[in-house]
Amino acid sequence: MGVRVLVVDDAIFMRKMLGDILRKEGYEIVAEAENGKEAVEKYKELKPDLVTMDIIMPDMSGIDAVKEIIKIDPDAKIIMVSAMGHQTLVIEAIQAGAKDYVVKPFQPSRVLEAVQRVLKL
Amino acid sequence: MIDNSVGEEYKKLFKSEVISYLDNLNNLVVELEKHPERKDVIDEIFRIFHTIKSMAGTMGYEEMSQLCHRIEDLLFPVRNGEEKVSQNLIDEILNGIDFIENFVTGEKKTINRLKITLNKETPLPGARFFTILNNLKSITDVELLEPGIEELTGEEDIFQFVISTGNPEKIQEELRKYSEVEKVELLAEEEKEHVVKDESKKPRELRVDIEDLDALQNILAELVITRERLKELIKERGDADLNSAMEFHSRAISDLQNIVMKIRMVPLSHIFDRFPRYVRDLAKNLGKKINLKIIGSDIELDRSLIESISDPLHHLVRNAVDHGIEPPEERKRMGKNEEGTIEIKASREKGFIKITISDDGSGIDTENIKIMALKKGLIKEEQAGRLSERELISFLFLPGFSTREEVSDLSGRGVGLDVVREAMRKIGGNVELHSVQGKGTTINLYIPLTMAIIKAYIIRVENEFYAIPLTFLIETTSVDKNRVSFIHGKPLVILRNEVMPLYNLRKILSLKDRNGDGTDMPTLVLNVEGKRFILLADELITSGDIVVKHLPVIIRDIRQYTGVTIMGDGYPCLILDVPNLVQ
Repeated sequence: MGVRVLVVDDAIFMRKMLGDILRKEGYEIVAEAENGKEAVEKYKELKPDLVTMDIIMPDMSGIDAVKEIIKIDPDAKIIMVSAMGHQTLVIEAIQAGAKDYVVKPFQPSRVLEAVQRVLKL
Repeated sequence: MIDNSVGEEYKKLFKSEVISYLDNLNNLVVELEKHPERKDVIDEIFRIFHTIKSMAGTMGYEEMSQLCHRIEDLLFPVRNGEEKVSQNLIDEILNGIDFIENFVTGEKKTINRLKITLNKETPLPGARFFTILNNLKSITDVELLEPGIEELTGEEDIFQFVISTGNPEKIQEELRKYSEVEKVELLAEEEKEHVVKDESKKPRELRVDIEDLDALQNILAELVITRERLKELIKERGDADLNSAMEFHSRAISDLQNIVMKIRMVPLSHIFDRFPRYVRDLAKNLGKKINLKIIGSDIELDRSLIESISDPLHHLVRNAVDHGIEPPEERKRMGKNEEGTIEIKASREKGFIKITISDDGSGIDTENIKIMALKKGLIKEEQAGRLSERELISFLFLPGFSTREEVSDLSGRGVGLDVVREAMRKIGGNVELHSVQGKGTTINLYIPLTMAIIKAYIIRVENEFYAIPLTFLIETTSVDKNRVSFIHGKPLVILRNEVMPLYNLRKILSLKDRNGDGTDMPTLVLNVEGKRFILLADELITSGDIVVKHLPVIIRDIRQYTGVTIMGDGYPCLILDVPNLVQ
């Protein structure tokens, strides 16, 4: 069975782009979520192997979603997706339990590197 | 995050403080294992782990703080009464203690500094490095040296970081997984963080070389002598100012002397406190049940003596557990209590400190010694029958002599009592062994008082001062001359309805009786092996700590004294051998 990924972002455009990068490498996108709340629900329901998580979203931010998910599953593998200049937020997310991060605009190689690294943890 | 220069200081304080908790913690857990219902013990263990946790957290020792947190979690339901103390819990706590001990006492650790440079194009380099650091920490020991954590987590772009680690290879291997890492340089090759175990075992103390202490004491003796000389000279001059200045000087030297004396003394608890855990672990490994009793931990010994007796004591205790106490089934079969008893007891005896290690185990099979001695060609067949038990037991003190056929990985082969005897010899002590087959073994160690501190009462007779170890003293009192009665010409005093013989120290010391005194006589009520008597002196001075020294060779054979001490003013003061005085 392939690696099952949950993609969380409030912009359809970003979800599609990330999904494409991952699908191309053989990862399975099991679900998408457009806010933190939905992400937590989907995580509970699907127990994906990996989550990509946007930081700034309406209805529960990415960081709060990380905290919730880590509560459910301390070993959850979450990669943050951040805009440039949000260093403090990224660090907060890492402290909350996220395992890595990528910065928009994406370079596919960077995304894949982070994904592979996190899956090996 | 603590600034690095200050960090060292905090580290030391942290270490010494944590170490000061460890023995107590070990003993508490052993206690809890025996009495799982003791809520106060659980609370105390919880409290200590909580304290260590917050200290470790402040120091940034994540692993240690998390460990303490986990143990708190384990203890929590037990504390609430929701769960019972399980063997698993005890083991977890003991493992935790071991981890903490290793962490803080870790000997000689090589610390490498690594400079890590990130690619200039790395987005959010601070966050990248923070992530890397997080992952590294889960793999090996890592500390961030530069920049400070605030800078790292700030919005400023920083591309160079310095970390310290004991395992640079592992770090370098891990860093290969990050394309953002451009360069890793090993900065200082070996910066040694040397933590000496002994030093850290003595909380809040400096490590002092015994030789330095000896030197200090010798210098002090010189000071005392010159002080006496100065005093005389000043007296001759009759200068009041000089005289009062000298008095201050004198007092300062006396204080100094007391402090030097104190510095050298360490209570036996330094060794004894480790035994509950030690015996518990050994017994568990060997599947034995043992009740350990410890008496006399507060008795103080000279530091150098403490060091010399630590190994022999551990050896003897290990022997008692390994060879002495039988497995529970065997004990049951023999009609003994399944749980064996080992007692470690220290007491002050005449001229010695006596440490007794006794067990109610199998005792020593002297027949077996005979067979071994024959086998090793130490005795001939025709001699064998004539040897007494005592003579046979003495073979055990020969190097390499062991009666154990199988080698236990605990006590090994032949590392026997010879080691203990040798250690005792080096410090001028003695070792004695009694054993009754099937009943148990008792080993007495006699450790000389030389340099040991004792509490004593100082009295004066004529112009000389004498010290009486407080272990013999019941009280000081004055006795009315008219209340002395004589039976068969021997003086007696009835004190609180008890008839006690009266001894006059003047007579014992072959001095003339005093004449023309008042009727109240200064006396000490003493106790020797349960018998009470009264000793008459000229004057009762005071009680205090004294350092016992060997007698000079010329008067060593005089039976009335066990040693000599130098008083604050530099005068010698003979220590009376109380049991011998009245024989």
